[in-house]
Amino acid sequence: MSSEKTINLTLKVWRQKGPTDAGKFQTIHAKDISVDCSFLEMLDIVNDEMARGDQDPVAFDHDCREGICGMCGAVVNGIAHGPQSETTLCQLHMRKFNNGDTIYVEPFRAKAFPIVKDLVVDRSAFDRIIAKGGFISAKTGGVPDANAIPISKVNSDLAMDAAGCIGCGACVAACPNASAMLFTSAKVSQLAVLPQGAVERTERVLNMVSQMDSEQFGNCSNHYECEAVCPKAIKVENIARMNREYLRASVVSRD
Amino acid sequence: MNLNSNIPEGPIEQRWTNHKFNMKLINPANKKKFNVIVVGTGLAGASAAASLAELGYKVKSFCMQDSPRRAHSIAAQGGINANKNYPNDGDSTYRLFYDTVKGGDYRSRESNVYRLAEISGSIIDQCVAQGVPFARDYSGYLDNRSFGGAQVSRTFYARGQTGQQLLLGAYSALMKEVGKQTVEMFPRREMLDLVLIDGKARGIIVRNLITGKLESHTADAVVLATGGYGNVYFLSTNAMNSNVTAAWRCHKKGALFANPCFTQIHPTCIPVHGDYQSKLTLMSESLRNDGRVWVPKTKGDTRKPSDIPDSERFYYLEEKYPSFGNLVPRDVASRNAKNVCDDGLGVGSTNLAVYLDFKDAIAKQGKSKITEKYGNLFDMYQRITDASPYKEPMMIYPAIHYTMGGLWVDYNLQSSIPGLFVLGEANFSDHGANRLGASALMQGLADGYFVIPYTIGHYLSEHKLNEVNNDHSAFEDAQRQATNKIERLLSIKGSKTVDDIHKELGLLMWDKCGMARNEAGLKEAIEKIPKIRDDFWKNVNVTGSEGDFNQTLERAGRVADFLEFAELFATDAEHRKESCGGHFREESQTEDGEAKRIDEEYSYVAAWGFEGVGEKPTLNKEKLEFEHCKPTQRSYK
Amino acid sequence: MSLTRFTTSSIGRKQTMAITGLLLVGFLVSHLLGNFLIFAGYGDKYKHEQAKGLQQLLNKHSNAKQNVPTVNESKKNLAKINALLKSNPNLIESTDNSNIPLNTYALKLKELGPLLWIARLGLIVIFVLHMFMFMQTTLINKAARPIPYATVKDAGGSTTASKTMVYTGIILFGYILLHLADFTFNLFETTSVIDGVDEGLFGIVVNGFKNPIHTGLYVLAMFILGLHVSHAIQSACQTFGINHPKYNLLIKNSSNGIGIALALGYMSIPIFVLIKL
Repeated sequence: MSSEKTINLTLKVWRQKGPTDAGKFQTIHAKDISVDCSFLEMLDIVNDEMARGDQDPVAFDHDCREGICGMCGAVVNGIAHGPQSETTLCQLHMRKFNNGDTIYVEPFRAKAFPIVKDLVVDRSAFDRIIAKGGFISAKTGGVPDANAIPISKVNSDLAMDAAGCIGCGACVAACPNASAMLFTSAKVSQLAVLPQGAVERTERVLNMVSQMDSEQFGNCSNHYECEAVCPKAIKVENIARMNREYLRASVVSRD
Repeated sequence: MNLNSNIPEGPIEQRWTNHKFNMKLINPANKKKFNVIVVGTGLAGASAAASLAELGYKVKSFCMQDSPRRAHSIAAQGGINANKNYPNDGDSTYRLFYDTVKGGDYRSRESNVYRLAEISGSIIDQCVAQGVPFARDYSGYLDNRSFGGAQVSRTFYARGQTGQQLLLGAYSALMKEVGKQTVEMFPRREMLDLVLIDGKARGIIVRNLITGKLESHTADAVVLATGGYGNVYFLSTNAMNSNVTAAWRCHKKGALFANPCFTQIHPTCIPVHGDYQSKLTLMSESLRNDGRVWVPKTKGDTRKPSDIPDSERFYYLEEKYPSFGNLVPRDVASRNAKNVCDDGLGVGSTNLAVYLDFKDAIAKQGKSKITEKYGNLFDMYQRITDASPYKEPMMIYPAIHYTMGGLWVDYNLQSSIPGLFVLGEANFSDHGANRLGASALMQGLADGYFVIPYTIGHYLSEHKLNEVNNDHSAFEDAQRQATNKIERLLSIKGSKTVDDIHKELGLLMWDKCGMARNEAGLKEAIEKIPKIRDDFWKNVNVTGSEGDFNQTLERAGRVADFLEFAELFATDAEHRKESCGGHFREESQTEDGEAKRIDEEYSYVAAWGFEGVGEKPTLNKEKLEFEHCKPTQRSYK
Repeated sequence: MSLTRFTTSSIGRKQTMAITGLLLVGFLVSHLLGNFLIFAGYGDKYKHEQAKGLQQLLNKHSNAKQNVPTVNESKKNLAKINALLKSNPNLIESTDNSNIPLNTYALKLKELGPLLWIARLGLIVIFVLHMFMFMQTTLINKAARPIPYATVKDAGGSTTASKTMVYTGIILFGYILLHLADFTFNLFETTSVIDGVDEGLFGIVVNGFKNPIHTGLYVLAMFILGLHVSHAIQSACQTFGINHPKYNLLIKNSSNGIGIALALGYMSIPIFVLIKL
């Protein structure tokens, strides 16, 4: 872990002042970057130097830097979160790059994710989708004992697989159609396989899909790029389950 | 100041029940007339906002991230404790209460801790009802594990992502209310000030982080759930944006700050490996169940760990603590790692690391068993360090992880400012001087789901609150002050970056107020912190402008507050001349080098009042009474 | 079930596209089976029938009575008969080609009358729905990412077939128009006469494919069809929620298999005709 190896890189970073401004790539030379740096630490170094030169540093979202908060993310050389699979940008390390590489860093691009600044995008569409049904309406208090309803380990594990979604938006970024199906289906799936979620399953899937559509995400055309870039390995099986849930709900719903 | 902790009368088992009955209620139809502000959307904040909205209050919820789902509670790995006793192994409310008070090294309030233990089971019920996918066994019932050396299996978990799942549960409850428009959500807002009118908390000033505009929000009560201040050390396991600003601004408005020197240092983190490093990553404590901690016996042994024979390895925890071995509590494990490194036995490029070795465990249990238990952690370690723990031992070192101190609150979680309630890690209440593993999640959710919904009603019904508007002079003054501070930061145009100064502060704090503290070091820190602060206000360069998305400005504001807060931290550490829990004073140790409490002198909560930047804070003491858990010296030999 | 909500939702649109697509695959299969009758037109048994018919026809118009040929003689005789026919062009029109299997099939279909039109209408509706949903989906998808990436790299999910669905779809639409003009309406006025005999639809098809460029185009189109179908079937399964780790490989292989089989099946006809030349 203590290799003193450093590399030099040419970065092409997307710079955009605000949602309505035109953006362009800025070429930045990053010198003597330790290969033990994370990608975001590399950007920290770049920003630090820019700040010393009184330039406006590159804005990028980040928080936990442990790959769990879902705040960070950019498209690195054409791949959301960069070349290492099942890894968020903050956990991607520079040893995955070679000396002299040119690295394109772009924001997650989708109409539903307007750019706030540089690499920062507005993913509030995800919150609005969840607000339409990504929950079980159990109010605080007045619920049965936790062990009152046994849930098969298989279903519990399936729910957990789906629930691992960190809402980073890489699925949308990677989808050729900028579709939010993987994100939406992960929540629909989690709650669909649990008995607690069954009560509201019909309304949930109808409302969440309707909100997803109105946020101007694209449609799923089963490329599975979302699954390939997902840092938490959320499976497209969830999309299938949501399709099933949706068809069922369309048939049985009373309105 | 007279500190009234408002602890109810009666036997400890009845206090919360009686208190709930004695508190005044608000008619369901009237609740909608009350506005409540909740700052922060972690476990405590999200659960509070959701629960209050369900009751009918009009809630405004604020978070600094782009979505309430990002709060740092999400990073908790291990689990959440509860008194369920599902495994039939002898757990009970009383045992959880007892363990927590003892684990906190007798520096917490018994009544609060008892309530926490009492409520803990309901949290699990609530989370399961929300669809939190806790681990289950083949019967379909919930699985439990023992955590952090506890003698009962009371920890519920969701793989290594318990915090994430609990937070997403609370987040979903919050979004349900957002969908119903009972909660108005304000993401990307940073709280810059608390506004008092007639001595009561009546609103906040926030900065819209996208537009840079300051906003005033009024309310009948303000709930603060803004987490801990671990980032005062620059490097910690906290999220990059975690900060003390909201709590500190409240402190400056009169809220007492309690036990700031009580910080938890987690023993198993990936060591620092370069000066570019931005944060430290925690490796779950569960690794110590099978990993053996060691360093080479001779100084400067640079052989590969696999080349060092067993006889030349110093398994210091196993040798020193034969009965607990590698499973000693966090503070003990951390301090011992520091000691061997101080003795020059540390490994790695910085010599600030010890080995955590799975060789024997793999030999005994087989690689597949170890993969099943720790595979994801090993992968994470390898991603970061490029070394495989299957082949060579992990290198670990302690890191700042959690802060037990926080704003002082009474039994109702109300701070010393009427109408300002503080929940979760932001308050000081339940963990004393050391927090047990899997207790942080429990406390955050207990506060949010099951305490604040009762106590806030009592406050609102008891006080006559006139209507206020955000054009009230108090709001205008607060906005002006916030603007002035921002303009001042932007006008310095010095030569140092915000991180330069933050790192300098962090290093000082780690050296002098870290794992081991002594009088000389603390006095040095108290002397140096104001100098760093002056340097900051003279030489920092904050780029960009005010009316823009400006992350440098955000950080600068937070570091400015850390620079004031650090002084209080060091002052508190200096004044408490005993060792307890995470606070280790070298002057106060047993013959074996263990922490030695001085109960006769320090069995109190140190609640500090703000007197001005650079001024000596005033100390208020809340005496701690132990009716049920008689303080004893902890021993893990 | 609110049809409007369903058909205007992203998933509903996809499922409509999937069901219509699967129906079209069904049509492709039955169409192919019908087309395979072309091979029967080359069969010895048919040649014998044809020779017999022509012999009888000739017998009717000339006095040179000859015996009805045996199967083995048919081929030889056929050449003779053809030579005779060539010298009597007035006989060509009166040739009865309805017993050529492909023509019989076409005639039988025509005899269905209104039923055929209902079937055709159904096919058109299915096709138009498929196209309409496709166009809507594609437009929405394009709008969902107004600014493209400067660099795009597959992370490993998509395939050539999945990535080219839009283009293969558009090409296939063009192909279908061409195909209708070609054989259904014979807008290119391909002659149906083979060796002096009017062989009806069979003759048009055979004469058409004798042109290597024509054949080449069809083979290419069928390759594209195969590509389209190979992704389409597995995609339709996913769209209807059929995704299970135990069966996914089977679904994928079947989908690819059906795509390849359809493509090869359809390709075999023009290639066969061309080689037979």
